[in-house]
Amino acid sequence: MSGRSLLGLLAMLFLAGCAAQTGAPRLGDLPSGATLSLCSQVAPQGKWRFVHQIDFDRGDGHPSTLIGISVVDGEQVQLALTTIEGLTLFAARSRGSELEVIRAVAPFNGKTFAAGLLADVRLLLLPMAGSSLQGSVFHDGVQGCRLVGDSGAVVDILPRESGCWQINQYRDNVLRRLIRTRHCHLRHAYRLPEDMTLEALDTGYRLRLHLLEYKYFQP
Amino acid sequence: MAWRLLLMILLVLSPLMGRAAAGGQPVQITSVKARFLQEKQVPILAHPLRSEGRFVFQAPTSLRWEYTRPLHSVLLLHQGRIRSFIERDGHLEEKSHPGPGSMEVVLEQISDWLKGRFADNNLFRVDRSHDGLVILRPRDTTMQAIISRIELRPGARPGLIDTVTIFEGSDAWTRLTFSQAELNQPVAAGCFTKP
Repeated sequence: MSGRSLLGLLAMLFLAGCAAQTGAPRLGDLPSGATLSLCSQVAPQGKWRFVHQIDFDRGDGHPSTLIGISVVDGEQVQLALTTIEGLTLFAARSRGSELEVIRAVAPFNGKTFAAGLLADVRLLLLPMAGSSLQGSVFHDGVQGCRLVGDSGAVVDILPRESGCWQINQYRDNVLRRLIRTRHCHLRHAYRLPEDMTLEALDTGYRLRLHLLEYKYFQP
Repeated sequence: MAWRLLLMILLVLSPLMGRAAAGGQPVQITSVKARFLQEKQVPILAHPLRSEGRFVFQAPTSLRWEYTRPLHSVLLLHQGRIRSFIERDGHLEEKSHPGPGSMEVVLEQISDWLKGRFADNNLFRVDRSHDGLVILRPRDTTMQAIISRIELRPGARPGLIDTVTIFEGSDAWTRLTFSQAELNQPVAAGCFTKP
């Protein structure tokens, strides 16, 4: 092999490696029963209410702290964002692709803000809604589950040995959303995290959620 | 806008705790301390969300507004400077804040409120019901989009207010219920400068 050919081959291998770091991992066979069970525990089943302290960092060096009140019931999410002092800045409800904004105060009244926020809230609280299981993936040696949504978004649900979980969302084979959780406790078949972080890698903003209260509504 | 509105409300309410809202004899206020229970009601909640805290106000315009449950945060206003802190991972972190902006308008209002001149202000229109309820309605249209009115319920003890309810339209409100109020007591050094 000539020196130029070898250099070209090395360049291709290097570029392929770079792409693999941002692209979705290779899809494997359907996950094991144990893995499926773990994956199903990252979404609350039934009706729940959560109250979170939310640190909202838009990447401008001025993070805001808000209170997030969310009610999840099946595929419906209702959300209200208030200041710590109680002023309601944003309120909306969403079921599937339907969205109704009830209240929005600047700077939360932007045209695309509501849809984007509800999409991220649904990813945090209902990661499997509107998606179908495609197979398994391996991440850091641990098997997880891959789902694909109607919009073509790929969601990898990755159980962690700590009992918590991570979610990677890809669009066009690029990692767009990264969700990490800490201090998880199994409650009513849901691995309820005390802390969640969502990073929007395409827009640069970050949400940190700390659980203040929760209520599970017995059916 | 929202944080400025909030600060206005807190600064207006704090000295009102020491006012005879039912129209009694004016009280010379140097300081007000009290605990509060905050209830927040929005349509998606079956029962209001509860928070607890305490505040200290010292004339003319120093304020400490502190939440203790379910999270810990402190808002300090002193000598025209605003600082706010939120607890994360077990310690208080200072949040960056925009400059005072329209605070000068609020500070002018405070001195009028302390002298009992409720009607002479350009922030709120003031009405009183027959049972002594004081109702404040914002004059500014921008503020009206956020809150529709504030109701002050005087307490049994002359000079103090039992509750303040901030209405955001017809189906969302925040209610502050005050207790253990103390008027004109000494204030600890550093109360308005250290979280």
